[in-house]
Amino acid sequence: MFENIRADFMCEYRSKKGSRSIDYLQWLLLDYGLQAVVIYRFGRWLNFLPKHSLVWLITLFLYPLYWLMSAWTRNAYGIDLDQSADIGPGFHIYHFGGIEVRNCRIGSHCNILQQVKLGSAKTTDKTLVIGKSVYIGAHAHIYADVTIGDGATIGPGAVVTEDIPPYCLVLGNPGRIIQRDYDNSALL
Amino acid sequence: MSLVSKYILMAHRRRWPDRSITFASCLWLLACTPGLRLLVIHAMARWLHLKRIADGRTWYWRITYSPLVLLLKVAERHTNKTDIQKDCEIEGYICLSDQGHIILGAKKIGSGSVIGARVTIGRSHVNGGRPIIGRNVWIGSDCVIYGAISIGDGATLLPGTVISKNIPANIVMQGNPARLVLQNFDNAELRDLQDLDAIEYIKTKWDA
Repeated sequence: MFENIRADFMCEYRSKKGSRSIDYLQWLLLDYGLQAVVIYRFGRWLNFLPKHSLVWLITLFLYPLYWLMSAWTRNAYGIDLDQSADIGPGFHIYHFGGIEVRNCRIGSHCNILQQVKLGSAKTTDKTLVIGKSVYIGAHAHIYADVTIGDGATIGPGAVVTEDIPPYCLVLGNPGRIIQRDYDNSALL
Repeated sequence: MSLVSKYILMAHRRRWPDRSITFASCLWLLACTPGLRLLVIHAMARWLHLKRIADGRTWYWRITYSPLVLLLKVAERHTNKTDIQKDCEIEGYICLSDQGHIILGAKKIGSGSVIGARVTIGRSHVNGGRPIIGRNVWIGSDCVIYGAISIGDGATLLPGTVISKNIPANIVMQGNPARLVLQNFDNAELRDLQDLDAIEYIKTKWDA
């Protein structure tokens, strides 16, 4: 959990280019996306704790804490990071409101923006898979169980229904590949 | 704070055209319309921001006004998921949707514009340019406008439009990628309608 959270803070640090040091407390209070991601990591950590008899006593108190905090991020910020999503380290959320992430596997160093909806509601063995360092623009919807390659860029308002190869720029509804070999290092 | 009273009077006239304006009705209006509340809080935050720039960062501005404005802004974020950047210049009265999820980071928004629910107007992450919205623009719900662009006066963006290029005046755009629907369209009637009736109005224009 702590390595992942450190990677999330480093991602936040990179996005704030003017800041000189990592201000943990202020960022946790004022950056709602970071707060939601940290609470999600805490929930995942609880789920994967070893199942000993004494650990069960600790989780009895920590689970209600997690439920309260996740309900807070869901209702107050509109950021719903479900436990069915497997999110890699260095996840960064810009802004807040209308974010739903469920039933998907997300690689490391991905960025999402507000009103982004990822993952289908149905639970099959095939899930949505998103590669490393993918940028997903505002209001983008990915409901289908597709595979999105490393370094892909999903433009604002795009609706993706097909598999996307690595390093592609996808725009429009329905989503179409506008450019291959698109470098999104400036966006992340 | 003449700007705040102007916003409240304009909203009052828009919402209850036949009712007399009293202090109690103005308070009730502020309590029941989140869009107006957001605008008023933004006016306060921007006034503070400009004052700070004029004076330099002095400690008494920080202590007296900024905790109150920050508290109001955070409360508005939590209840409506709305956020307006303090460097976004709004000239005159604009009408914001009461349903929330609005994020505004434009450089300038003209007077008389109408902005629907779940609208994002912000900077491009590629070059950091911010849009300039003209006067009397009608922006439907779920629109995204980004990049260093300008949108002409009296333009109409139908719901669900994504705009990243310059738009001329008096034009109707729709879709993602955005395409031109109508030219020389006057959206005065559309802007006078409340949010729910606007969809029906567009449908009637569509058939005609």
